[in-house]
Amino acid sequence: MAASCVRTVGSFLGKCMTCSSSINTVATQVLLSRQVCVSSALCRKNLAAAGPEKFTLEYIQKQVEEYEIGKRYLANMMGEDPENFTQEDIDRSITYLFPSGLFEKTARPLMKHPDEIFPKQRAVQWGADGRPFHFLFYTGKQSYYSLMHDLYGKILKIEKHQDRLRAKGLFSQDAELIHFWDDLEGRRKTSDSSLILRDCGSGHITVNGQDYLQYFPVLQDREQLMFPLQFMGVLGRFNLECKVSGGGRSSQAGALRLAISRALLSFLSEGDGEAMRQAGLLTPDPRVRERKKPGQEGARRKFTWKKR
Amino acid sequence: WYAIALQTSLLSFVCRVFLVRWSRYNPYYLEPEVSKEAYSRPETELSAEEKEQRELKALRPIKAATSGVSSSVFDDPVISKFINMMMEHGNKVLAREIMTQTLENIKKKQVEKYHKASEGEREAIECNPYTIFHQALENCKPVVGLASIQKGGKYYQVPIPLTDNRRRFLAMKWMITECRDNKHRRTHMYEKLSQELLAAFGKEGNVMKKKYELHKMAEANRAYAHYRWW
Repeated sequence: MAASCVRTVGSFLGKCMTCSSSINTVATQVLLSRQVCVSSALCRKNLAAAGPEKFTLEYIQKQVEEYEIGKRYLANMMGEDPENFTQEDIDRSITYLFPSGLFEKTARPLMKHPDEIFPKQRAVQWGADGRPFHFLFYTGKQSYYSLMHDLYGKILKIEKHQDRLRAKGLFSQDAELIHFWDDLEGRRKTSDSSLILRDCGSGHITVNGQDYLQYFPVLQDREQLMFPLQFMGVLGRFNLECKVSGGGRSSQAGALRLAISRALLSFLSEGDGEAMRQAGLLTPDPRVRERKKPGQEGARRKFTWKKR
Repeated sequence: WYAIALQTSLLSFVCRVFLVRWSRYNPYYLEPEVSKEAYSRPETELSAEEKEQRELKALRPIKAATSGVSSSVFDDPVISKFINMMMEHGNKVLAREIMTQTLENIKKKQVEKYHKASEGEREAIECNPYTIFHQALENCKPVVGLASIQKGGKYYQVPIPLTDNRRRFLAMKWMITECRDNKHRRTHMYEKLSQELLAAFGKEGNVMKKKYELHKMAEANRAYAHYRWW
């Protein structure tokens, strides 16, 4: 327990009371004296609540000036040109002038620009009246939403430009739209797949360099590949170049199906995308092999029950 | 070892209460609708509940479509179910092969009959193996089933109505067990299956016999029908 210093205000009053002969001194003492308990725990500053140390702008500016002057001084000391004194030269000079045998590199003497030493502070986001500076402050993610906003503005400008070109008759439609993803796009059990979808094709499908008829001899797997294309009615329109690895034949087909559906999204309208989602083409299948549990023969099968 | 086995069996009994019928999906997820026609119908054709269903589907997440279904015209949910039931040890390739051979065999037999028949009979002969399959299965489906209900220390066989799924399952199960058990060692499965399906299409054969027997039993136990409380 913290030692509490009890200061009785008006304790001298009580003493006076005891001096003068009055009845119920204890009662009057209680009435008149006001006990103010101040524990040392309260005096201690709450360091955790204060947050990271804050430095004023003037202080950091002073540090920067001192650093610049010190840099020139160091250059003169080392006999080098103070104008072209880089940070590497500073480090070299410091290690020469203050050789330290400490193993902990961060404990050795260092001289760096104050911006690197003092933690960057978050600039105050609102003015003196409490109104925030950024117009999207109240969204919570102002940089994200402002980026999206700028992006949309750029898209509108591009479309306007497109319309102008079309009006002049300079806009041609025969640009080949390539949907290209290099990262893994479809997953099922332990298979991963990625693919390149090319528009204005003839319906060729290549899987890992082989023709899809050769790679998937089973009809069911080829049906799964064709499922999203047939559902959207674009069977002969796209050329597919697929890469798939891991898992078995059925899970590879499932992974490719998911990848194809995701790739098709960028070529189709929103209503079609919604139809694909409701057909279950865009959900990654979460079913994986259930582990075997101890005390059982398999994931679900128990050992033969013996009565005794 | 006996003590451990007892403990684990107790544990497994405890766990079974809430783990035995789980699925990897959150129960919030809805079943996918794979057919293309369901999405091309305009707003005006739908009834109120279908509209509600559509709105619900727009808001809820949907499960992934399994690898056995697709939107192609050749995909039949009944036939897929039958193939899955025929499958042993996960050998879907073999089961599917048997199914295709069965349908081919049915078609061959029917076309032979068609060419041999006279002009008047030709219209009556059904050549489409899919319709034959569906009709045969329909003919095999029992209307009522029997449930073993305990009353006053004895177990009575009480006739109960069956759900559609249960009826379909029983018809398929009888068909498959019949073809597996009562066939000659040398006949192929597809051969026997095609024979049974054609017989069921004509409302004869062992599977139909089984169905009639079940119906007779249910008729005989009609007196106990009031034992059913649901």
